[in-house]
Amino acid sequence: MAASRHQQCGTSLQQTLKLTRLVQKESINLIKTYKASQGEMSELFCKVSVNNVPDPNISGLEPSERLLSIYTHLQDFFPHFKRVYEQQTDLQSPASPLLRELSHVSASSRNLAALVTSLYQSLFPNLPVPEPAGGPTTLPPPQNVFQQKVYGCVVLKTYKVLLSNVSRELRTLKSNVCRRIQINTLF
Amino acid sequence: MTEKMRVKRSRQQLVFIVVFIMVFIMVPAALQLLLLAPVLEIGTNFTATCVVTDTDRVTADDLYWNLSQTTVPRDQYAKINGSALAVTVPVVGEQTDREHRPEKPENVSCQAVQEVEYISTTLRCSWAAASRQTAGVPTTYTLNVAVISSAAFNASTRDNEAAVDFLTIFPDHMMLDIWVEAHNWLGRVESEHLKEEAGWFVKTNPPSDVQVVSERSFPTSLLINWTHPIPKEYVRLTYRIRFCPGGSESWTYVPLVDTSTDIQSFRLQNLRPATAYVSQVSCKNAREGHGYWSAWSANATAATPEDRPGKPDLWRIVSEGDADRLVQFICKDPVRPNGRITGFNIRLQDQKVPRPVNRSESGSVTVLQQLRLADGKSVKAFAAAHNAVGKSAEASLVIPDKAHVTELKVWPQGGRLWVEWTPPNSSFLSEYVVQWVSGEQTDWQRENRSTRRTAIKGDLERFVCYNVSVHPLYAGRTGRAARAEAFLEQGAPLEAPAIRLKGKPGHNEAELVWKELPLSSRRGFITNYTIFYTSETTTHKVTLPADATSYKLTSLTGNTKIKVNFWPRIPDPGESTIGTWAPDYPVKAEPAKESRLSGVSVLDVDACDGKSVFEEDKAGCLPLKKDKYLSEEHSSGIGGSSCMSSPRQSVSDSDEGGDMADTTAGTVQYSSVVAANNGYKGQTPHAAPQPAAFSRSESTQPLLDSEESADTSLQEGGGRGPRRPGSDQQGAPEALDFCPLDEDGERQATPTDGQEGVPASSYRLQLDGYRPQ
Repeated sequence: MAASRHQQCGTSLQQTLKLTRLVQKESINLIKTYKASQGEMSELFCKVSVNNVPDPNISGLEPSERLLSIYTHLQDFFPHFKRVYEQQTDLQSPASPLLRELSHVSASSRNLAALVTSLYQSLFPNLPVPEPAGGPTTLPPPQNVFQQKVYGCVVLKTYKVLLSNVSRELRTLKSNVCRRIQINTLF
Repeated sequence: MTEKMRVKRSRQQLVFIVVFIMVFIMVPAALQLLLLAPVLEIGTNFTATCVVTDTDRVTADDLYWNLSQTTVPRDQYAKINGSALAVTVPVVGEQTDREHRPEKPENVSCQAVQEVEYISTTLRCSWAAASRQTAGVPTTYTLNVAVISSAAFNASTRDNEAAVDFLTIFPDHMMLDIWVEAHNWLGRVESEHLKEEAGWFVKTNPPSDVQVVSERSFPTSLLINWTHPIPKEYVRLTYRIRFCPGGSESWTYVPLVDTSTDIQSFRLQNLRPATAYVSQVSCKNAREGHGYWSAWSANATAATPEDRPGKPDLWRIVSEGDADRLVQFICKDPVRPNGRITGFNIRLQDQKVPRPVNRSESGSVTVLQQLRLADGKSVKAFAAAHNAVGKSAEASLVIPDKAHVTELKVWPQGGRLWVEWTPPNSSFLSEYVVQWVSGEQTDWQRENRSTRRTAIKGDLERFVCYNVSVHPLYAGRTGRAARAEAFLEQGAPLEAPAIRLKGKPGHNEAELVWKELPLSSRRGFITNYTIFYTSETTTHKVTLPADATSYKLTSLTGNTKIKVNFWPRIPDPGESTIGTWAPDYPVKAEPAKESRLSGVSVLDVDACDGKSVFEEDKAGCLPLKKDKYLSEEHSSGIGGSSCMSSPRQSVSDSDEGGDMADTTAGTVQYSSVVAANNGYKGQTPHAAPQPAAFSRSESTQPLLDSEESADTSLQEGGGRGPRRPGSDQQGAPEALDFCPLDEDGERQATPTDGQEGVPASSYRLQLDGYRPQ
């Protein structure tokens, strides 16, 4: 049983890491596509700070808390993806690769969140399962085109930072939690 | 559909139709007939319920059931309540082609291919349907794909393959649970679940942009480059590579262990220079057991650079001559030309600078050089091939000398004929053949390559000249032999040559001629002839070589009778013995067993005045007569057993018969009586008087020394020393070699000293009998 837990820990976590890296790559490509599809001054858009964009930093002391933080932070970005998609739908042509990539990243992120949930359940079976995302997320009020372009870029960039943090956190989790399980298995 | 099936279906249909009709007619009140199954499986129970909607007129107690015009027994009824009555009847019918519950789908397999830069959102699956579809009870298959912790998808079909669409993205790195459910009216069943990570089902495009690079500095290598068909974040890939020479259909596969994950290049090695190769690359999920191999990439072709050629194929044509060979060095292109061969060069062993030769344009063989090579010479040739890159290493070929056996010695010993030789200086020698020929008979024996001396193992005859040769063999081919003639044992010739006068004698000269003895008569080597010719007072002696067949006597005194003793051979003195003869004593010496007397020709010649010979007094010149003596006995000077014994003939009619010189002139004196007490010369006489005894020499050798006998006038002229075996003193008769020369004209000189185990006397004599080359 313990051996199975150890193996499952490694496999599940590795799987989550792989998907994190995939979403990271897609988000990097997405940002490039986004900038390329925003016209002139697109570099400038991404340097403007915007409120109401979710925090990309992982919080918590215990591994379980931090894993839960990963989940909630991922969830926090979904409404913003939706908002950006809606805005860009108005700004882009239907065949724009941006929209496709936005959908792709959004869908991948949802899968990532599902994997994180599954990992949480496997690592901490006695802890309550995190609630599906439904907490209040502050979306920006209606924006003009410029604001939309800025907002979209900030969301994507911030999300990329989040993914980087998630990747780091998962690696830490792998070495700490999965190894502990391994040690516990041995003894 | 068979007739039986139609009957069975009709019956099934009839069941509820009949029930329906009967109840409806019987009770016009509204009824509701509930059938729990539209299709009845044979072997199962069928339950029908009739519900009375207007119970004011009819109740459940008023109902009864008929099945195929037969009332169903009430014990099969089940009264549900006052208004409902059910009946359960077994479904019967023929079992020949029953309708089945669906069988479990097997071997579910799914695949998602790459589309552009992503994996397609469509997952196609197929499975094996154990039972076939029937129109009456069709089976529907539902493909279920659940993305664990996420959404589920399904697709239904009557076939054995289906596809689901994930809509937005392929669920990379997510766990999938896939199964197929089969269901029909009779039931449903699920396949085994296939739970694998999504990458398990992925088939990517082949690697893109495959290129092969040829590098001048690596003539046996090609570098293959390609691009991952999909970013590694989606699926890490492993590769397989195959290549073949252009035009060939035989692919060579690079071992999978050599093509690691995530590589984008690979170097092919150990290829042939100047050769075009076609390469292909394929890829798959690097995780063991996951994914499908992609299709092979498009052909990528490149040629390896040229390299220095391999050695040419050097060979030769040899035409044998009498004493030399015509050698042609020829060659073909190297097996590994590594480019286009432009020419060759050749040099012989002593040459430093090779000579260039253009490659033949007319055929595959190029003549490099031609030369004459003496049989005793060897030559080594070196040849190299050229192409655009450079020159090959040199190929070499040796034409060995026709080395031959030298210093052949043949001698009798211990009743056998021994052969010794010096081997040829050649490492190619394999063995020897020792051959001996006499007349028409030939025999031989083989000796291994390390043998230097051997005895002839065949049965040899005495007094027969054998032509002995030693042949070196080189891998079955004979080399040049060494030859020599030998006798196992020598004896006196059976006859002497017939001597005659050539023409008429002159005033003071006369020419004698004779023919060589036939081989069969010689019985040994004739080394020379000795002519003794005696005028009235003077005896002359002339020694002639064995090949002489004539001699002119000169300085003759006219009108003088000349007696000629022709002495062709001196037999083997080794057979001489000393015996003691005394008047009262018996002869003790045993006569030699074999005749050893040589033939002697006696010729009396009248040397006529040349003038009278030809013009006036031809009658004064007596015709020559010749005759031969052949004495069979050893003879001593006294007692009649003498060489001088009759028959004796003289060609002369002179009255010189009583003259001792005459008496002895026609014979060979072999012995004389020597007073024993005198001893031989050099011995000390006995002090005490001894009975008179005389020793005689039963010699096989004519007495030649004057000390032996005063009568041996024949011996006076020579100033000869004591008779010694093997001595080659002047006047001592010697063996003459009459064996014919072989066709090579070879005669081996033989050493005379230091021969191990060889009796000095006879050996020396025989040696002296050989005619040096």
